[in-house]
Amino acid sequence: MIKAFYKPGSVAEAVKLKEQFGAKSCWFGNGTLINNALFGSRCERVISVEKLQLNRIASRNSHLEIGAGVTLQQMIDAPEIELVLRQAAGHLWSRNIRNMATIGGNIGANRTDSCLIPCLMALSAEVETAPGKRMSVEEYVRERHNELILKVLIPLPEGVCRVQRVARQAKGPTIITAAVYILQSGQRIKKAIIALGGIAEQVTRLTAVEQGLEKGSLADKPAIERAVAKGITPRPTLSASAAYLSYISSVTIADLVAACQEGKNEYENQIHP
Amino acid sequence: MSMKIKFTLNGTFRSIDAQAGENGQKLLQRIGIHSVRNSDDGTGIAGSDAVLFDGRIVNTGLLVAAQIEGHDIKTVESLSDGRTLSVVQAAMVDAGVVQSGYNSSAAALMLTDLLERIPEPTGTDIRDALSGFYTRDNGYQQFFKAVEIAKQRRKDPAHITGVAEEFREDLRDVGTARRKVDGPKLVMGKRAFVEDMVEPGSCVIKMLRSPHAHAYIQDIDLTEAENLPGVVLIITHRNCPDVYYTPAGQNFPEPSPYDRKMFNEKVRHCGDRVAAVVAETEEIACKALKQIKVTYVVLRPVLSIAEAAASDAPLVQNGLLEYRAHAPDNLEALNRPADPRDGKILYPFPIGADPRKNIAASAAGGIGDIEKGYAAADVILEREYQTSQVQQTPCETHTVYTRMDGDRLIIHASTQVPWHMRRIVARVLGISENKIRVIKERVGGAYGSKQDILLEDVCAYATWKTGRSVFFQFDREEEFTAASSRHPMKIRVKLGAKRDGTLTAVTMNVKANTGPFANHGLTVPMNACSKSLPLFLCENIKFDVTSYYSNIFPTGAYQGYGAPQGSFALQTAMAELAEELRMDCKVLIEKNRVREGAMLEILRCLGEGREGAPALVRSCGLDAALNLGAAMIAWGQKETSRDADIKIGKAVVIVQQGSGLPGLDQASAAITLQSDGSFIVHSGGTDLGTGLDTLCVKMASETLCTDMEKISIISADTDHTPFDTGAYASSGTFFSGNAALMAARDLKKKILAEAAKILKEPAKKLKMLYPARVQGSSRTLSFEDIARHAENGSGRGPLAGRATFTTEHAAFPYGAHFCEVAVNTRSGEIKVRKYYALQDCGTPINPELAEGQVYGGVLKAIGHSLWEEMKMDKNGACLNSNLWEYGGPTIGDLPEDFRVKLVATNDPFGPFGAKSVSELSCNGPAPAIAIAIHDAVGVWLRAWPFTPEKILAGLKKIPEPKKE
Repeated sequence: MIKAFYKPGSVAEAVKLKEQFGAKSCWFGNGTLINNALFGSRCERVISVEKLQLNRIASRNSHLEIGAGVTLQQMIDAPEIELVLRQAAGHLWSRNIRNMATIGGNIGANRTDSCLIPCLMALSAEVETAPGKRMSVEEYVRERHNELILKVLIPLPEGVCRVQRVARQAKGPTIITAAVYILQSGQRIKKAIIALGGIAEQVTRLTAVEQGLEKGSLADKPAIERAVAKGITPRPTLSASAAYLSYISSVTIADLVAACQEGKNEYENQIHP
Repeated sequence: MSMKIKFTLNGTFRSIDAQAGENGQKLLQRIGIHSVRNSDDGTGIAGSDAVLFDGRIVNTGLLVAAQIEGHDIKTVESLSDGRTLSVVQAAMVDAGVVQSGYNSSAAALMLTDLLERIPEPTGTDIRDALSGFYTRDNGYQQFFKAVEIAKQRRKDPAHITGVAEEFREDLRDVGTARRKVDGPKLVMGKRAFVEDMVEPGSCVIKMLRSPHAHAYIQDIDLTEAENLPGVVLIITHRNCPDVYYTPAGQNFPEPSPYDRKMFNEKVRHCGDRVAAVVAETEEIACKALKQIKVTYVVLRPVLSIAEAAASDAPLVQNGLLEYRAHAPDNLEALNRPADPRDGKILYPFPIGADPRKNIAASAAGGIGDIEKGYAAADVILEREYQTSQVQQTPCETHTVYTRMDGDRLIIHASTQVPWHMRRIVARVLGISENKIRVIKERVGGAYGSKQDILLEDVCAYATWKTGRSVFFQFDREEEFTAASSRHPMKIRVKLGAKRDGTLTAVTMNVKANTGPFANHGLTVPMNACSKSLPLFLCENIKFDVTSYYSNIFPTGAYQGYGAPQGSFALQTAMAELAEELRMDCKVLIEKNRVREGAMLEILRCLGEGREGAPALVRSCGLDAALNLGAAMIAWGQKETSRDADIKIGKAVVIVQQGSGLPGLDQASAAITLQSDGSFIVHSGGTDLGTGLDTLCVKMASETLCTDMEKISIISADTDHTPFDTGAYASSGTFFSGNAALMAARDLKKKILAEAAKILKEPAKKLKMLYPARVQGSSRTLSFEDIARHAENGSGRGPLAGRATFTTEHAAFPYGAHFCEVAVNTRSGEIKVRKYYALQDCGTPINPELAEGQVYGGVLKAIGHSLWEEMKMDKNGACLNSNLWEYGGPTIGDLPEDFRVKLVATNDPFGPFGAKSVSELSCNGPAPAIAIAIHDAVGVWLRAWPFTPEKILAGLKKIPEPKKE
């Protein structure tokens, strides 16, 4: 139960509050996870970002900036954001929750079933944190950073990125979320990024598979599937056995690689498949 | 941190004191906004708590008070002006989506927001707008119609859209969509439900529940909890009434054993009652729960039918056995090993129980000569099917509010069975029924789960004992672990048939897991047979049913009442037989199915709580349903996908249910003529949101030639309406509807007699005419003239009609369900592309509501077929006792093409030819989807839910999942 709720008026004030209360406090976007009885933290002092004016989306020459307080619905409604990232935001099925959940909160919560983190990793996104640090989303997640996220910076992609959420239902638990980015030079894969959520405690990169693709040693779907299966050791969840998780991760990633190579987006301009 | 919260609520500035972390939904309720409700305990699934927050739809259960500071909140109260519905609200009522209505007002806000953002929304936009909404009532499909109506009326307020097919041109209201009588109140979010009746200062109950599935309570230390200021009473097995009873809301004497007290020394499931704390506030009650110290002797739990049937199984109910009648000869021997800590079981009459083998109930029977039947068969097929435990998940959890009125106990209940509740509570409290009044408030979803007395006994006792008003409402976890659910079953089917498909023998062996208690333990598994076997005409039929005690979560009545499990087994087995015979399964169905005029001999041995009797099928719409459905789905035409991984399959099944329980059920109604010629119907019928009140008003409006607007209804109040057995077993339309119709006819006679007296003409020469008048040869009298005459100093007194309906005649509703699925052989994903439910409910009295009932029933059953399942760990604890992980469908899970077609027949015993409609719908999806999956990919899935994992295992792409 939240006992103290702070709404600092500046980033400096927010950071000071965090320093003051340390681990007993947490950052608070709009609270869809912190306030949620299913996932809620035991955080008693929350520091809200509401008054920090982190809700702007801006296109720059080489990248796009999304304020940490931008909601997932605002992302979907922003045509300047890459379609694939808007589709990833749409993987959070409930509009009611998308109206509240923020991009900063989604990254900060660092959940393995995050709808955004795989896609942001695949797009090589970075976060700018207070005070003025910049790091990749991957590093922020992997190292379990806890600095206040101010904005997310997404480079304009040269290659193609595709995402897929596997779930039994529109709403309800996600089984896996996968994102693949492929930059090709002719027939050769110059750069591959694969991020997978749902099989470990955090969203993870499948670097061995990425390298295999870049080296050209994974020439077809069965080879990619084998490489993915070899590279993961999923634990069973309430919704899925380990064998199924391994299988579905393999085929999903193989299909996404193929979709990237073909430049195919199955859902065209739809946010919701 | 207490703070002053300043915000704007529906355009008015508000300043209130609150704790920073106070839940937003609770805060709004606290300041009198009843319409913002809780269905999910702040997990953001159901949307019953939705508001417009700075113009955007959000869930207040996911907000805390401090977030509200400085913002603008609009609730449903902002949509309408006084008593006038907004365009969206009116469209929702007209389209039939307002059924139980617990969160209809939240849906109204979401759709209003949609039309403000997108005046011409697409289907995708509508799905998106309702993506945060959950309901069990109407299967979401009619929301598309509601939006269409609203969209048109925004442009042209006079726009009239046909919302449903119309039936019975010869009648004014019956067979035509008319606004549901309680629809406006519900969609406006007015006070209607039990929780809205709670007076300030009332106490609350919080229940301490067992963490163990099977244990004895060795000791309970209440010292600290009882000393806590504000704790009024704590009830445990030590101080509760020493009365054994069944919570089953069935006719007396119940076919369910009295196998529990209010609190027991033995706990039999995780979540079983240990102690009830009655306190002045919720906070104090919760604090007291933490201060109760319990010592348990933990026993090995029994979690499956196999474990229950094992020779070394722990006994779940090892108490003394008592029989009111027909005790077995060896009762003394049976009672020798009884453990007094297990209490006792009292049987109103024998139900084939043997608790020393964990057998809660059993029955067997048949017709013809089964062995002869198999000997005559060219093909014999034997298969076993399994179903999992699933939950009703009504948006309004189980709720009750009790208070004293002088020396009388008033129970504000959300129930299907007001009179059974009064009987059971009176027995438990040891008081007479005249001391109790049960008022059935609007019910926010029931689906069978509110047929049982699951919290009213404790709450009533607390009020009776303390004199205090007490409120008790389950949270969502309690709904899963302490309410009722669908019985898991294992059903073995053996079919014998000639090469041409003629059935020669059918055997159904049903094993049910009834859980810790045997409420409905006999009748639900019996229904698996009695609603399936009569669909096929075969001379040699045998069935046997065994119901086992275990330590799973409690089971009970759930819409369909055993029929969905039986239908899954028998219909799938028939399709497997068709494959064996290399026949089209529709041809096999046609070869053997029931037809009008058939005598259902098997029902002689399938009575429910009494001797059975053969029944004549007087109306059966299967001919039309099968033919129409086949044309709609292009039966016989193989569909293909452009994606090589996707295979498409089709299926057809037939389904049956009953319309109440002939010979057991009873319904009554009275109608009074008011002084100005209007009417009030007093119906004992229990409207659960299904439209039963509207139906009863239509009975009166047709018979008494009066506009529905001039007829009001009071229903299901044990003080003010006559006895009715309640709304279960699909009895509402047939029983309560017939009672209302008969009462209207009785009143019609009395009005004509009074008119005859005034006109000095024989009554038989008078005509009752619309609107509201009686025509004689000399002049016409209005109903007002007649009422005034009856009520004057020389009159015979106010005119009233009264009737009680009982019958020995059955009226079976039938249906044919067609389904098309797409199965992705690479991912295992199953998509229901088409689902067509063609149902014969006789005359559809409220067509738009009947369609909604069917959509709702079908989607619930698609839910248990594909997604829903209560999961337990090895100790019997529930792993998914929340709406997020449990898997009830939302609008995003609808079949791509979802249609309901009502196939009208005219049943000679139904009111205006009507039969039941709702439960029937639950019986089709599981077999239809299983058969269609097989048609698509050649894999038979014989256990629901059908998951991608099971598909992939069937295709040998991953190992088989572990079985029970």
